[in-house]
Amino acid sequence: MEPEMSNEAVVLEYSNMVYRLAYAQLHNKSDADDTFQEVFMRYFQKKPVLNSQEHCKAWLIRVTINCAKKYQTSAWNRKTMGLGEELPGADDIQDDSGIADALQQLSARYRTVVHLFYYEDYSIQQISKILHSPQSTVRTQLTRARRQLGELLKGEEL
Amino acid sequence: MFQESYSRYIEQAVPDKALTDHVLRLGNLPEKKSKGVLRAVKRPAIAAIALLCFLIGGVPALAAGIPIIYDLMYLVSPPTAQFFMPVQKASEDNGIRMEVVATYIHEDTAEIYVTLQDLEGERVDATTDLYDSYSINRPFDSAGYCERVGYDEDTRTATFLITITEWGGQDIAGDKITFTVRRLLSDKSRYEDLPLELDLSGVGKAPDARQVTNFSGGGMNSEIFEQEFASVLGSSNLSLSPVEDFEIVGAGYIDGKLHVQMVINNSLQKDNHAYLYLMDSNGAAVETEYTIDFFEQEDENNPGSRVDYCNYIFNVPAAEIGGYKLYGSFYTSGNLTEGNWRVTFPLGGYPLPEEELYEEWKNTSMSEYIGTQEWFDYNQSLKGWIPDNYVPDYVPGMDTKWKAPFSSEFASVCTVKSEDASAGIMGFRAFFAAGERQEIRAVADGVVIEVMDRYFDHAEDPYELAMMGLDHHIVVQYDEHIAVRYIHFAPESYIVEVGQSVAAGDVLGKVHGSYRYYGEDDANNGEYAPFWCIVDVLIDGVLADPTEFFEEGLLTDDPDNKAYREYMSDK
Repeated sequence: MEPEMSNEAVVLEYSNMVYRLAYAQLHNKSDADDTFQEVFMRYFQKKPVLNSQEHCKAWLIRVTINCAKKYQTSAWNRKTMGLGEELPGADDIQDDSGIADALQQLSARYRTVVHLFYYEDYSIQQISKILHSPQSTVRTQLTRARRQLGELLKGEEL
Repeated sequence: MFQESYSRYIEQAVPDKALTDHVLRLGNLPEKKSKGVLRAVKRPAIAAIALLCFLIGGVPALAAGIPIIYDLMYLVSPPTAQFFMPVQKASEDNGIRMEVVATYIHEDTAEIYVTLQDLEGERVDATTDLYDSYSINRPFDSAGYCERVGYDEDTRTATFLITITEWGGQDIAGDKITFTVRRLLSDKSRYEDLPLELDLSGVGKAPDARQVTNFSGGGMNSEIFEQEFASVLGSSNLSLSPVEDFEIVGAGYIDGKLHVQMVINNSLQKDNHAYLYLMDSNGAAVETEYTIDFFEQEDENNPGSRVDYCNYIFNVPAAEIGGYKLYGSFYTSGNLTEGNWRVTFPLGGYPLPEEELYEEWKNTSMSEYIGTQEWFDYNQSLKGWIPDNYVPDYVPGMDTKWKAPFSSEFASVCTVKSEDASAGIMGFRAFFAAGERQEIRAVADGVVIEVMDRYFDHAEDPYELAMMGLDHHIVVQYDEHIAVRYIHFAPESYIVEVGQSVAAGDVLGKVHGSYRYYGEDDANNGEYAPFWCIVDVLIDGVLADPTEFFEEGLLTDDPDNKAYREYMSDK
């Protein structure tokens, strides 16, 4: 079996992965920062017993998704409190290809699946294991996300 | 390509250095709770394996490869040898070929035979060990280990048996795993029971400490660790090297116990390890009470510079120590071969066809299942399957005006806001956790208007896509506006047909359970669906919040149902 990784090694190995996953869901730097910190705090406190690096990664993915949910709700609240369209923060990623806008319009759940599938290169089966949701659900979410993105990003090959 | 533009986009998201540093600092704070696990260094000899190697040594040279495997299987376990299923997938790198020969799956355990053959040299020998150098990736939580069970001199082929046991006793047949080997150790030497020239009577209080930087250790009580660290380490004037790479550097008494410290070099490269014991004048051995390991981390520019420290603690009083002698056993490997051997293969096991599964269902009594640990675990696991934003609400009794689709004692219900808009199922839906093979009963009167006895996994056209969330369902029309849809029946378990009238409480069919979703490549590597039933209430084809119907008793056989009339007039 692989040796247990130190806290430091885990942070260094997975910081980008966790941060990008958080950002993919939240599309907002300050919330992503908070999520990032919380995920690793939970890791340090819990010290989960993980029998492989893959397992460790899956644990972090699940915790990141859970932690990010909190901010999704608060973002929603902010929106409905009358701010209207949420304006991108000064630190948020600027992007002129339209991809950021398109992703903003997907629900966070779809964005998560898209991120895991296209960026982390997980298969539908692996995503369903990580998210603890049935494969058919993941497949449906991905299909719909693809279709929505296809409409929003005309010409992009999905 | 979307994938490329997405990667380009999301890769701009990087945590600030200040943030990462902050998190790293948090991670380096000392732990408050100590784990307090002291690892025993001595590795138990596996008698059966030793015996087996001896037997193999005595067997005349056999034809290469697979026949040997089968012989081995028979030697290891004659009754199970016939169940091994051939895999024969191989990976070759650096002139060494790794082949996954056969697997045998039974319940939660997989046994896998793997051979390693050196096609060019003699890097695979009878001492070749994969200890710590292999990894098994599998889609389930499990424990696995690997042991060498044989070696064939003529073909320079070593055979290993890998055993994987899934945590939680799940059935693992159908999963895929990847077996990877990065490093091989061979040319192993063992120096056992060496007397060590150390005059124990001269050992006194441990002298001054020496500081070591950049160390790491695992599995120790931090208090003991610090003490150990401060006092034993660096008992300067002692140096005794019985075997290359092993050096005893310190010995002293702390709190009435003898601590002996050994430095091990090249522990990773050569899998160097050792254990020490004391022998009294009568020849009786005294084992260590515990050991503590830590190491100085490798300097990045200087591979192999990692130094391991191992402290052996004996509970022998200082007054008596003069009567003891120190012995040690040392293990080292002369040959390290690196490469990348990787094979992915399905864990055999072919699931029963659905008809057989259903036959099996019908023959199992529900009462044996309800209330068992398995049932409880299932109900717990179901919570993970149901999407967010729900409040699970156990409905004991279910004796309200709403008739549950299952008998009450094991129905739990929650409502979920579904995003499955394309299937016309946007809105709230009721999920009922069911027992295995349970009958689904009508919750209201009506006429059956649709019976769908198939499910769609790979949706091609819009109709199939729309049906993806609705496999195996029945729709019962309650009145001109309202229909109730029941989803997740077992195939061919319906006992109603289109046009038939049903009354609340009538059995419609049985709940679908342990069938597999098919994986992407059409291999049967999907997972089991849980036992549940979805009940949708449709008003003019649109999902309504079923809880209103549940709680208010809107669907009853009372033609003068006041609540229902009020409800409908609001719409």
